[in-house]
Amino acid sequence: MKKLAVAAAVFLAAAAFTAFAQNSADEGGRVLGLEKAWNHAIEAKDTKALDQLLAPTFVAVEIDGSVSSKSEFLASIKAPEYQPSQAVNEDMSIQVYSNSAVVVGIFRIKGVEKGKSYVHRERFIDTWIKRDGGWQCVASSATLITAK
Amino acid sequence: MAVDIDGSLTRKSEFLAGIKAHSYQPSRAVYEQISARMYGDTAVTAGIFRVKEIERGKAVVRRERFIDTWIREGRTWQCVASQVTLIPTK
Repeated sequence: MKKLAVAAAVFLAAAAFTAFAQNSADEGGRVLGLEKAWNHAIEAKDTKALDQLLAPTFVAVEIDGSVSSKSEFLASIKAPEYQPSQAVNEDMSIQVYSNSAVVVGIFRIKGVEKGKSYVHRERFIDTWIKRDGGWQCVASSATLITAK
Repeated sequence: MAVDIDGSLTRKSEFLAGIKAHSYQPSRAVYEQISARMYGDTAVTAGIFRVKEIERGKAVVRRERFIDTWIREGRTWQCVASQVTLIPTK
């Protein structure tokens, strides 16, 4: 009888772990999908879509070390001098916690600035929070990759 | 997970080894500015970190913008991600 109880406990624990792992994978996939949507929104300069993805308390650190709030970030995307032609993530990994997720990756952006074309590769970390069933990014930090 | 000012990515063990390395000689490390935002069991801190160190025999001072993400498990907070971006000198 005791053996049966132990076996049942192990089975339940394994089932709970499998359900947790499955849920984490689903949530992770959802957030990675939002990262892709973010890039599409940048390419299209679609600040309405970005507004949905970013939390009101969003903070961003740019590659020059400057910091911007959500409204400043959206204004910079909308600015006429900002002309991205391609924005893709080369590499992404995600860690999901109870109410948050952290995405680390490489963002490659191609565009034109002051008449000159450029390609940047930036390492980023984005922190996402789940609230009311949806995910929003609360912090994004980018560092230009100069390391070989 | 940490992203350094050159964009390199290090895991916890590599980060700790970097701090322990003989070549790393910080004389002073301070926060000029720091703020925190709480999201339940997650916290995000952001600010400016100033470090003074000896690099190839020369004293250098660097100002770095950072964002750290912290997770609470039980009563303990641990940093799960840290990124720094160099603030260029004017």
